[in-house]
Amino acid sequence: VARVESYRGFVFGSHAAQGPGLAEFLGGLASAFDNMLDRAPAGTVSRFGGELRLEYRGNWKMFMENAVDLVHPNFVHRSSVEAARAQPQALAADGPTQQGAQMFLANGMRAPEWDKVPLHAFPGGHVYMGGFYRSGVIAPERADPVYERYRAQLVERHGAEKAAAVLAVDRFNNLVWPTVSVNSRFAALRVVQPLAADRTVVEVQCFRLEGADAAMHELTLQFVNLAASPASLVASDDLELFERCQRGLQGAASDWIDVRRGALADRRQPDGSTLGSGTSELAIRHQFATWLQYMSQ
Amino acid sequence: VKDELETFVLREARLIDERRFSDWLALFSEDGIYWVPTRSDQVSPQEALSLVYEPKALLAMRVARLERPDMHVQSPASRTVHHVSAVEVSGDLEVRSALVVAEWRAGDARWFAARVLHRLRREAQELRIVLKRVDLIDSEAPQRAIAVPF
Repeated sequence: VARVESYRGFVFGSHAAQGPGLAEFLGGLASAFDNMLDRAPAGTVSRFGGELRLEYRGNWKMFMENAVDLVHPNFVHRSSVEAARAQPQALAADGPTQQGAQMFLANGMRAPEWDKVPLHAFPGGHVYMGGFYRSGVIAPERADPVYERYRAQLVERHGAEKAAAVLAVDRFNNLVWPTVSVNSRFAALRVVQPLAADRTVVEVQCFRLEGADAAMHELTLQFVNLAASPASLVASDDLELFERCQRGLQGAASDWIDVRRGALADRRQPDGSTLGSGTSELAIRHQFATWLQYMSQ
Repeated sequence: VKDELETFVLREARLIDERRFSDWLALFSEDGIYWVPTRSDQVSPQEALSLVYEPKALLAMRVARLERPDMHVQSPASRTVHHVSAVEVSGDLEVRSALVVAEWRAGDARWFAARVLHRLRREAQELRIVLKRVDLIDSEAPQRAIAVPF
């Protein structure tokens, strides 16, 4: 590895001897790591719990597109949404937080609701989805004792105003393109490892928010188990669809895919980022523009 | 008792192969748990990630999904053989066994091998699963989508 740099303890390597430094590379997405650390009452996080590893016979870019795509949940995740809706007693039995059930049901939102989740695209292919919890996809705040205690610990560290601001960061996946997807709220990240043009491994890691109670760490593990395991009711359908897309694209039927959805509504922001609505293909356009730029250097 | 317990785990495996998932779910006690840890020395789901850790309530969702036509990762459906052998029974209704699962789906064959622990309980004369723990020999390896229970 030609260069190694770290950002607040997260170590990155680059095979390119020349190029932007890490801070410049991360740009607007450094905030995803900041927010994860801010969410730890002791101000630090540590890896724990080992890792989960997923594999699919498809191109690595599909994972990064899918992580910020809000058109697919209604079709791809229909079976887990309906299974959750059909089991109200299961929802009630899912612990005090109902975190798992909530996650399954969230995928059942319709396009107009997903459209309220803004996509923020930054130079370098980085993208995050904002407004996730505010839109009611997953409850932003909870009233259970575990969460109340955690909030109190965070207020002790930051004061009421900053603690509220830290918890109000309502992004879901934060993509540091082309390799990392960060979920600050659930203290997890996924690292994409391309093995071949049609073979990819994704490693899922999670973090202990130091200073928080063990119950919070257990919620992190539960979220990652349910959302990101190869046996997950959600992720397994994503993996299946990646493989189908790969087979379809290798066929001779078409050379081009239309990714213009939402293009006319892209809004350039003063900080150089671009804002689009949840079901826009802004993220895909943005990632491929970056890919083309890297490949033609 | 050994015969009864062995018959129970063999039938449990056959119900999965026959895709009788609701009947399979019914074998679990109300507080029953289906667990596939990532580490063979893992003593609890609180210390490390798990491929699956599902109390019956969540397992019911898994089963409900397996019965839906729009579960993409089971369209087409898998055909499986759960080969259970080396069954050992202990006095307190614990059954240890070796498991090999052969799976055929959409032109691909896959194999899984695991040690399995069943912790059982007698409820109104019927045996019920309190814990089914499956330790895959390659639990830390990258896995493609896993849809059919072990």
